[in-house]
Amino acid sequence: MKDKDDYLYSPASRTSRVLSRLRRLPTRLRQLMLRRRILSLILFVVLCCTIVANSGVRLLPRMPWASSKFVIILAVNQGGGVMEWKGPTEWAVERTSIANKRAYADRHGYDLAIQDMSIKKRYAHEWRESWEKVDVIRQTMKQYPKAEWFWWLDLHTYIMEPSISLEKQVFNRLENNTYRNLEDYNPLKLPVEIPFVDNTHPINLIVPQDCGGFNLGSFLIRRSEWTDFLLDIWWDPVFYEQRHMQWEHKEQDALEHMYSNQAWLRSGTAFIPQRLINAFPEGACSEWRGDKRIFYNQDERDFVVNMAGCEWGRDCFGEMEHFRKISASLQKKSWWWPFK
Amino acid sequence: MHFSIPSRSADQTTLPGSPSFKAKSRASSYHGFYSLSFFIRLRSLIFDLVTSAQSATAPEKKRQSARRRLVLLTLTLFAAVMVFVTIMYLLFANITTSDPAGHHVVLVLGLDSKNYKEDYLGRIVENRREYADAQKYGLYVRNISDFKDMVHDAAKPGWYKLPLMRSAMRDNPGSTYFWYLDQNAIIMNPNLNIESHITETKRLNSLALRDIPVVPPDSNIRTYRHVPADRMKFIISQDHEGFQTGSFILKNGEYSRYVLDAWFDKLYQEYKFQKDEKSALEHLAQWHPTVLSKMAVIPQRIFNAYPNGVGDSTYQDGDFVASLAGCNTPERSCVREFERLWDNRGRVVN
Repeated sequence: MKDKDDYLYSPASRTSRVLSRLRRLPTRLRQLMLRRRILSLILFVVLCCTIVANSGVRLLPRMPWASSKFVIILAVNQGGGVMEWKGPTEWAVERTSIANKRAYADRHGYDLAIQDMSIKKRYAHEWRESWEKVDVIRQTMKQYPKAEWFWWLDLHTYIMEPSISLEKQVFNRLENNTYRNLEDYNPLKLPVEIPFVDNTHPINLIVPQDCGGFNLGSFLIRRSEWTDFLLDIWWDPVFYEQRHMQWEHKEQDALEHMYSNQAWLRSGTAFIPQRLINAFPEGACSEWRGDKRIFYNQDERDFVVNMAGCEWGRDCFGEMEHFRKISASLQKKSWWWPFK
Repeated sequence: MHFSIPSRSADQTTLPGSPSFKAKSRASSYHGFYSLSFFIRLRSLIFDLVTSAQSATAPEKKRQSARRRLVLLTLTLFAAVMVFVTIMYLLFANITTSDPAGHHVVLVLGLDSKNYKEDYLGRIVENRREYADAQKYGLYVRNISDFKDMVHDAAKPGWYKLPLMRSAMRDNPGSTYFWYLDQNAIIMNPNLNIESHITETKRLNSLALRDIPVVPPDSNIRTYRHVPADRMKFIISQDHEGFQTGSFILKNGEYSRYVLDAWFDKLYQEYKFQKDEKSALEHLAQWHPTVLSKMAVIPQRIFNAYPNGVGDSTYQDGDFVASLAGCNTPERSCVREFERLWDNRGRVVN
């Protein structure tokens, strides 16, 4: 039986007992943290990491063992707002595109390299002014030394089927998915046969053809000695001086020229049917409406849509939203999906 | 034989800062062939084996040591197999996949039967044939009119050598070196062997002129200083004006096909360079480091000496090749100069 005087606060009722325990809680917590210093430090670090990780900011530098065989190069900020004003719709389109690619890359473990393509306005005809794609690819290859294949994507593209991996779409049956010559489909009427071509050469560049020639809005390039040569010879002052007035699409036209003239380049290039990685919306290639090889087909669940040329005369924001909604509705699984 | 990887037991704390700690909070997909969790489990297995001896009781000790011996035996066997495989690979990896029937070196000759007489051309071919037979090299002779439709301007004779070389490389896939020697040149000393005289690595290293201007006398771009000779795939010489394309050696491979095709591009042929393919090559070498980095520029006297030249490039007795380049101008006469040299040429010493 204890005396009343032994207690500072006499525990008169249950409420006051609970209240006193609550009051002691901060001190208890502090004592516990002091006693288990290391553990609490670890927990604090983990808490910070979780917050940072969920906010999307990259905390640690990319670890070498975590690098992937595939890198997606996303070309953003085309023009950089130098020649045209970049308004809210342009920003929205950019956001949607980047989010789409990031979700895809995270899902399949690919690396995503977002490269800035703003115009650096220098003197007219200063060399390499218009061949930025080549320099960007070279730079990205340096940044990702372990990767083998690099998938270039323009900004105005949307991956409609994020569940399909690149291996499944292209690489598992590479010989079947690609064609090596222009016999069947030659929209630009390039020479079909040139001497000294080697058809057994490994494939280093996979390019789709659209209604007007090669389309470099979505293509694949492999790290190799052949690619080093290509990236070096792609821009040449003699070629540029003679042809830059005719070459509206710059590096695309240069590649078409070299493909027609240089056998080593033809040996390492393969074409892929456009709808596999570069389907067009109805607005692009409008003279070829109805052509089954070019346009996005929702029933067949084409992989990627490239809204090429939407910044000239069409509505990029509208098209991007349209395809985003289609993609979202296609990905929604109905309740009877497991039983299909 | 099976040993189980122990699951994480209660007394095995996950040490703070270990990879397993971070692995818990990371997404589940793994990128590499061996995931991190595999290494963690392997590590804990080894850890377990190492520390088990100290904390085990007697019969457990016996079981533990038996298990440990078994594991050690497996590891040793595995290591032995790997060593064996490595040795076999090292021994047999040097078997070249080249066609054994192909010659190591192929001489390439293009004959201009439109502008030169048959007997002159016949003696040139005889000169090459004598050399090729003596050194057991291949000889690839074509009329340059075969390539008339490929060149842009048939009047410029310098461009024919490029599709000719390309054709030689296609028709001789097993050969390593291709030596183009102009029609207007004589091999004066057939006892010299291409490998020991030019292409052998140490010899090429000593011959290659480093840090010289690509276009004499003082172009900004110079040849590389530190590229090792075994990476050189294009051997050529320079005279006082620039590259002398009458005699050059290409090593079979991706690089040579690239250089020949890029050099022969239609836009270069149409550009009206001052010296046709020579200027085109100088342009390529200055603007494209992938071309220049594998080029070796060697002294002209090694395989392209001028009999009536000046300075270092003058032909002297015992030199390998005497070049009659530029002899089809009005002041000179190819046939006359040829006759003078033909009688003085060295013969094969057996």
